[in-house]
Formats: sequence, C-alpha cells, structure tokens
Amino acid sequence: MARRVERTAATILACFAFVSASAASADADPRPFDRPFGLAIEGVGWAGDYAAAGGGARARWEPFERLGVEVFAQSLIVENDGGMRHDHPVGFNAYVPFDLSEAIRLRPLFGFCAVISMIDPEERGAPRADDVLFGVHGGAGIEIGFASDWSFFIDVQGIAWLGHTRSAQGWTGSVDGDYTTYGVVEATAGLQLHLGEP
Amino acid sequence: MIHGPTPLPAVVLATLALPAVVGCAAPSSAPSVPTAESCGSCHPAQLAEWRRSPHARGTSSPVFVALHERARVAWGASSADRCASCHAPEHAGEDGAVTCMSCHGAVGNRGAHDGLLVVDPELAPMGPTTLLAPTNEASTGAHAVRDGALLRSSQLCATCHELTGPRLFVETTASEHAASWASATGVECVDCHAPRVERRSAHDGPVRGVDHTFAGIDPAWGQAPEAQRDARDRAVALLDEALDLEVRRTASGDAIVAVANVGAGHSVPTGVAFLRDVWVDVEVALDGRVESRPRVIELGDRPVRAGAEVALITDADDVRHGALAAGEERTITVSAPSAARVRAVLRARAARSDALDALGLAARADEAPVLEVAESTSSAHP
Repeated sequence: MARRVERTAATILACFAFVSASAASADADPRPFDRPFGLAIEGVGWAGDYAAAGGGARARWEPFERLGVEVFAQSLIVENDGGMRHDHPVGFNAYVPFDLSEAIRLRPLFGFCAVISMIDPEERGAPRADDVLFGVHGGAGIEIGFASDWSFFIDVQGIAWLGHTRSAQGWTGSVDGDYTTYGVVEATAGLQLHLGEP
Repeated sequence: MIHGPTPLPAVVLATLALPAVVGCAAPSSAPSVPTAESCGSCHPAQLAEWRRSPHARGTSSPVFVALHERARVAWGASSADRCASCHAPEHAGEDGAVTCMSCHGAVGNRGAHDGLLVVDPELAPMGPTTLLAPTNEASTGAHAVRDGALLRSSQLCATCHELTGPRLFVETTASEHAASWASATGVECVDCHAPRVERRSAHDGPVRGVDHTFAGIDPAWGQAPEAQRDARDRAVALLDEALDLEVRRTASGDAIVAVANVGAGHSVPTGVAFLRDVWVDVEVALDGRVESRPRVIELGDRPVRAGAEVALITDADDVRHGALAAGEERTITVSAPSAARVRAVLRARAARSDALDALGLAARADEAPVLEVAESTSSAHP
C-alpha cells in the first residue's frame, strides 16, 4: 500500500516537473496565460440537491493581470423522478488568477447564472413544469498550461439557486408560486484554447 | 392550454364543422368546444348516464349551491371561488359542470389536487381532434382518439377528489386510495365507479364502454323518481360491497358489532366526509320486547367548534375524523343477555339531517333518504 502511494506521488511530481520543465524549456514561447482571450469546452457534473452531468463552453477575457471574466453556457441531464429533466445554465464568472508556477495557475472565482430548467413530461401532451432558476456560485480552479496556447482546467464551485417548487410525475406538471433554494457542488474539467497576442 | 375555470379561447377551431357521420346528427352550428349535448348526438347512452351523474350536477346540486354561499359568507369570495375549479370548470363553454371535455379533453394537471386540471382544446374539439378514449379504438370521422391511459388513471380523478381547502374543506380521497390495498393492486377509481357495461359505444359502434353514471352516495337531486331510485340502488350496492357488518357473541352473551371496510379503496365515507352520515343501529330483542340502541357506531367526520359538534364545516374550527379507512375494522361491544337476539343495521345518508337543516334544505330531505345498506343478526347465544 505504502509503495503504491509513493509511486503515485512520484508520478504526480514527475508530471508537474515535466510541465514546468516544458514551460521553462520554451522560454522563447509565450505562456497560454499571457494571452488575453480564451475559448473552452468542458465537461460538468453536479452533486447535492441534484445529480447531473453534461457539457458546455465558455469564453474568457483577461483585461488585467489579476482579473478575468468569463461567460459560459452548459447543458446537463439532471436526475429526476418524473420525466426527463435537462438544465441549461448560462452565466458569468469573475476570477483572480495567481501563478503557482510558470505553467500552473490558481484562480478563485465567483459569479452568477440563470438556469433554464426543463422537464419533458413522462406522458405525451401532459403539462410542462419548466422553470428559470437564478443562482450565485463561488469556488476555485486550477489551470495547467501545456503549450503556448492550450491549458487544461479543473474548477470546483458551490452553487445556490432560487427557483420555484415543481412537480412532474405522470400527467402532472406543476410550477408552484413559492420559491425554494437549491444547492449543488459543481466540478468542471475542460480544455482552453488561449487566443490573442501576449 | 387552460386549467381550472379559465374561460376557453373563443377562436378554437370554431369554424370546423363536424364531419358527417352515418347515424350521428351533427349539430347545426358547431360550438368551439363540444358540449355534452353535442357529444351525445353520437353517444346518446353516455349522455343519458352522464345526466344522472354527480358530475352533471356539479353546479346545480342544492347542497353545493347552499354550501358554496355559506363558504362565501364565512370564508370570503376567494375561498368560495376555489370551489368553482371543480364544480364549474367551464371546460365546454355553457356546460359549466364537469362535462365530457373535462375528462376526454384532459391532458394532465398542474397538481393532482384542487381542481388543477389541464384541458387542451386544441387537442380536444372537432376536426383534427384527439379525444381520450378508454381503449385503443380507431379514430372516427367525427374525431380522432388518443391513448386513454389518463382516463383510466386515478391521477385524473385525484385532480378534483383531493382537496386541500379552502380552510377546513379538505378531502383526501385520492391519498386514501394511494395508501390503500386498491392502489397497491392496481384497482383504479374507474374500476368501481365507472364499471364496464354492455352497450353500443356510439351509433353503429362496437358494444363496449363504461358506465358514465359515476355512482357514489350522492342522491340524484331534482331528478325524476326513477332516476332517484336508481341512484339509491347504486349507492346501496357500492356501500354493501365496501362495508362488511357482523354481529359476534361473546361467551357472556354480549354482542360485538363489527363494521369493516373490506371493499372500498378509500375511507368510508370519503369526499365531503363531514357531511356524510354512516352508522350502525342495534336492536336487542328478548321475550318479545325490542330495545333500540341507535348509532352504536358512527362513521364520518364531524365539524366541531370549541370541541362541540356543529352542523356545517363553515361554522367549525376543527374537524373530528371518524371515517373508516380502507381495510380498517371498527367494533363495539353491546351488552345483551345471552338469550337475546341482537340485530345490527348499517345505514347511510348522503348528508346529515342537521346539515341539511342548517343549509335550508329540510324541505328536500326526502331526496337524500336514509339508505339501509346491510344487516346482521345474531340469535341467542347457545
């Protein structure tokens, strides 16, 4: 067991060393994080009040060294007892990047979003129980650059939404007048193409 | 889509004429949404059954009319308006009551309670119509049909037979059913209240269908004596099927009177249980003398105010529950000499007499007579 832990730790260190060495060996090349714009694709998962999985895309702009903004759009299939639920968040992030090394950045982030949440009824023609939820989120991400214009990223955030209570089961589809809060932890992993002149 | 009492759009396929169908008298001017009368031009048997049903009397039942007004006075207009979502949904224009369209044009609900039914007139009326049909029947020239699983589902009935108000006006029939053996074994509301009948489904149609009378304990208010008698017979048959009455003797000669809900997939009484009256009278006979012991068991809810019984739910501050749940048995021991004969009679009435009096309906009490449902006798203990 101890040998396996040692081997894993050695592998991780070797990866970091490789990434750092790659960045160092390419002194002539700009880092991806030096570029002000970016486009990314990502996979996303939720755990908490809902479990969900899906994908999305985002675009970023870093007008300052210590501030970036992003807009994103995602689509997720959400676990649901009655009818297929699919959520479509669109939102905004602001983040503050810190260099951990030449190739690795930590970026605390926060933002807000709106979620178009749709539930396709189990029965044909039954009333729908669609809703729009509004949320805030915050967390942190790690970005690892591996070429002059590519990076890999992982974000972990907490999200809290406000939405209507709903029910969708069989021929029932209802959106009540009262509001409830929902919370999930979101994990996102993706690839970023960095654009623009350093 | 509409739900509840929302008026129907006037424009819905108003210009579509009913296609000529052999044997069916198309209405001279097609209404935007078919009324019960226009459906009856091809389905006369169902129309006749429906006319005898409590659904057809949704707005005209004297108990509803009087209690609705009481609710308006006691609880305010908005509370009283909630009654309309089930009693006067106006799914078919001037047909204010629960009509053909309420069920056959339904696509679902906005919650299986409180009358939040959704009827889609674009699916339902004549022309490119898809009406819910009880079986996978073929479309006809008059209208198309779609799968009728919703019609057979208790979820449709629950829309109006599960109420969370106004105020104390709570009905739990659907949740009683959901918790009962009936739901667990797949017995739906229609299996008892709309049983299959052998008659033509339409002019020249196949011989099959369900009874649209929707028998319950409600009397046929204001209808011909024959219809009132028919409603009474159906109510007695249903109650007899639901409740089992038995008198058992103990070793000392006392009688244990037991009433059990063995056949209903919900409590008895249910619905407006605070109006209903179901009870057991006992007679103890010995040496030619008969001693009456009335109401040894009473089933039903009772409105109370400050702990004392009141006639109407609108005068109450609480409800004392007493209905017999599905599968439940209630017993009482009646003291009797071992040589006595003990006779128990199960009786029921759609509305308690004090409630009818309080609603100003004493003059119509004969229309809601006491029904003798069952009796059980135990002769002298050996």
